[in-house]
Amino acid sequence: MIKTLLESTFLFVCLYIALGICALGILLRIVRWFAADIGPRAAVIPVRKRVAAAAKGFVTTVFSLRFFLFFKVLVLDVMLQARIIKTDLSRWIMHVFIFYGFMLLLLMHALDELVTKKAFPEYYSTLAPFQQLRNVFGLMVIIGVAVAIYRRVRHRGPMLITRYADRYAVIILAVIMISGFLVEATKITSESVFNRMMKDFSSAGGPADEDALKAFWSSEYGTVFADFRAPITPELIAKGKQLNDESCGSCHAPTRTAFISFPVARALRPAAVPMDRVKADVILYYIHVLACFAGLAYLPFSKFFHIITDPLTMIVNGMSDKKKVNQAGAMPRRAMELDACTNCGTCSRFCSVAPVFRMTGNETILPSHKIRTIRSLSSGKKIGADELRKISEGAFICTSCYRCTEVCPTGINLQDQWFASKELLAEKGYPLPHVWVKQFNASEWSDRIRAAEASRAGDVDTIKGRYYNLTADSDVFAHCIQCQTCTNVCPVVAAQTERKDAVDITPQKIMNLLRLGLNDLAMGSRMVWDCTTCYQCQENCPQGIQVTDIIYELKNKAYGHFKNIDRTAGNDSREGAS
Amino acid sequence: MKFAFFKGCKIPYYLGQYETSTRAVLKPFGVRLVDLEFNCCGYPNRDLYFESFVLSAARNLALAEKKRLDIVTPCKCCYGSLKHAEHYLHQNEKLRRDVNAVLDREGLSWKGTIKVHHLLTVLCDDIGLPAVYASIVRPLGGLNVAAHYGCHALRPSNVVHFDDPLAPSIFEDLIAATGAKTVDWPRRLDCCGNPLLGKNNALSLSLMRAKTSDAADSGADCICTACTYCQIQFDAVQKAETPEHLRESMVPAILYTQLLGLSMGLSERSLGISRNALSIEKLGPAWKLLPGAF
Repeated sequence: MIKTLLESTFLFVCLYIALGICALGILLRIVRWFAADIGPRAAVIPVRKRVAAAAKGFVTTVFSLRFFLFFKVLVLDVMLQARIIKTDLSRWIMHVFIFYGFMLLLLMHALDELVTKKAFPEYYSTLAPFQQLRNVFGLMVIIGVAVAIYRRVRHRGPMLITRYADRYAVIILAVIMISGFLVEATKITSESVFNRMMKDFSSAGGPADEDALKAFWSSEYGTVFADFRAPITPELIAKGKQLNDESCGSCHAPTRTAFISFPVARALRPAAVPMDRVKADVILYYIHVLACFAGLAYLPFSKFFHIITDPLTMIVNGMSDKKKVNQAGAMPRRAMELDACTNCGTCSRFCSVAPVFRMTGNETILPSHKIRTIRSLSSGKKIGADELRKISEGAFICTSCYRCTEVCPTGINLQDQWFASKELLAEKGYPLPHVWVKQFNASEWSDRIRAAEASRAGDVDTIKGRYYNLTADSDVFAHCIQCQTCTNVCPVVAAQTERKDAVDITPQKIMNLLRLGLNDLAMGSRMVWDCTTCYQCQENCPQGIQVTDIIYELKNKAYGHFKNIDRTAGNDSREGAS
Repeated sequence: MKFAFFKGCKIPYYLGQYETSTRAVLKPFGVRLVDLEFNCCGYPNRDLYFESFVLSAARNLALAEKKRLDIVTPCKCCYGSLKHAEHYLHQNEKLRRDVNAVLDREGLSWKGTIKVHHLLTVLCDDIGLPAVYASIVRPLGGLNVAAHYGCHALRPSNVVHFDDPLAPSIFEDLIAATGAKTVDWPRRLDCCGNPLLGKNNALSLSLMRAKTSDAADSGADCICTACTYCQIQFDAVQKAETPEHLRESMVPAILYTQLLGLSMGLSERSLGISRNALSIEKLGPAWKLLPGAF
């Protein structure tokens, strides 16, 4: 059955090889979801526990009221793709055209023996409405692909990066569609196909009838004959039409209804005869079919894997209780979500802290980049200290505002991915600076800062604020009279939680350090990093000194220095970050 | 009255009831709140980068300027952050130039033409106390409230221009309008500790507990807040971080918009008091009878 459709044992075998590779690839990726270590304490949770948790989650959801959400998600998110239209109409048009165009082609055209013929027993691919529909769906895909290319060119930038996988997706679709139209077009012009059909099906009598049919087909249906001598008169065409209606009409709608392929066939006129001689229609057919098979085989490794992962992600997340996350069950879900990301950049477009990216240039702040770093964080690949520091900065600048999760068209629970990766980074020794700074005390940090600056042949004050330099301007702090009002109103000083974490350098001492030019001593101090920024000191200072602003500036400068210091170096006697 | 509504990063997912109660409470006074595509106010990253903090805040100001709308925010940290950025942009020409250069890439620019308000100043100054008094249908007499001012709207006063920093009264005045009694508590102007959450939890909670025990000692039934972070600290964080044996001493917190809305007779659906982590004993079933009227 499929064999006759493909008309070739070779292609038949190729199909099954492609299907096999595809199935194997999908299986491999699913296995990896359960084996990948994503998130905190990953190594501790064994694989069988993850499988069990996932299965339990599945069963509890199916047998609960939340099951009805399945239909809502299926219709709204998977079929109507409502999540895309929420943020971007042109993307929705592009995707709906590509998705429905391709799916309908797959069902109606590629699987016509299995699907269409069963539903419509009189089906022939060249009959109406199938011929038009094939062209409609193919055109839809081409329009969708054109919009996709336009969007990626127009909006290119750090928030929408086009990579190999994106280019591949567009190219393979274009190749399949264009080759498809070319197959149809060359079949329309092909004299040898016409002759074969005429021999098999027509009830034409002698040469005169044949001429009539040929006249009709060449003038109305686009066939190009190398050597047709008979004069084409209206009577001949009318006779041909009559013969056509008798023998060909039951299977052939006018080729004009293939409204894309027909003009293409017309355009190919000059080359039609040489193309027919080399059997271009067969060559193009092989290209078309093999391109489809290549796409099929490569599916689980390409961007098109999202056809499977995205509906799964939407359904799983659409039905689960987002606030209760079971760590064992969450890991395979997170791994699956990484495969669901289609790199569309919508999350970054709406990111609340995108301006920080614009100022600092650290693209790991953007969600579309973060989702990729999570992949490398969990792959076990060795990531350098500097890179880890950048990733940690990007992770902790995020304010967990949830917007990216709301707008993600694939329904990925991005918020959960960020929480998990923050915990993981803390585990790896890259928590928030305020936490990590505790591993050394103020004078140890001062030593390190001086050492780092000395090795860079600079001095401690090389980090100058571009706009304000309160800590270097004696007019700002010199008139401190050491009245200790700042220290006495400071709630952090008063709290005195634990001896080892107690405030080491109180606010008025910081003023003294500034006067002595020992800013670096203040930079790693508890006071600076435990300051709760309540502005009591600044408000109450009788000399109007900007105490809190100075502490902020010390934080900023310290952070600048810390970037140059190898945080793994030295002092094993100190406890790690809390 | 029309304002651009600056919610900040936390309200949508963590304190949805603050948005719904604010909208519900301002609507009867004819205040229209417009949603713009704001970004983070910049306050969280001031610790690391000064310029990014100013740019983040400036972008929000520029977005509101483009629509010629003043900003109102219910969060005090956002208020403080936006006011600080405004202050620095007015003061420092180099900063202004550089920030505008980055904003220009998006077709935005900051000129300083709009004003930033906090929810409380809008209620007290723009709507006015007489109008607030007039809207009360159910005075909450018998409820003792400790007004928590928070830090970032109050200080530094030369930047934020909110109220007298050492002896403010705006919050007590507004609470008094609801019929509730405000208590005098020594720590009323202290920090709630939320800025340290995640950075030094022991310290953060210690600051919080100093406030709650002081409120309890002063006879308060609850603490009233008008800031997203303060509410989260006294509500969700207090509930999550208080060990079993100290549960009795917890002092619940309520948002001012919820308190006002209650006294205005608004529905529970918009006020979301049941969405708060801790419930106020005195606001038991008897107090929640009114929603039926809506």
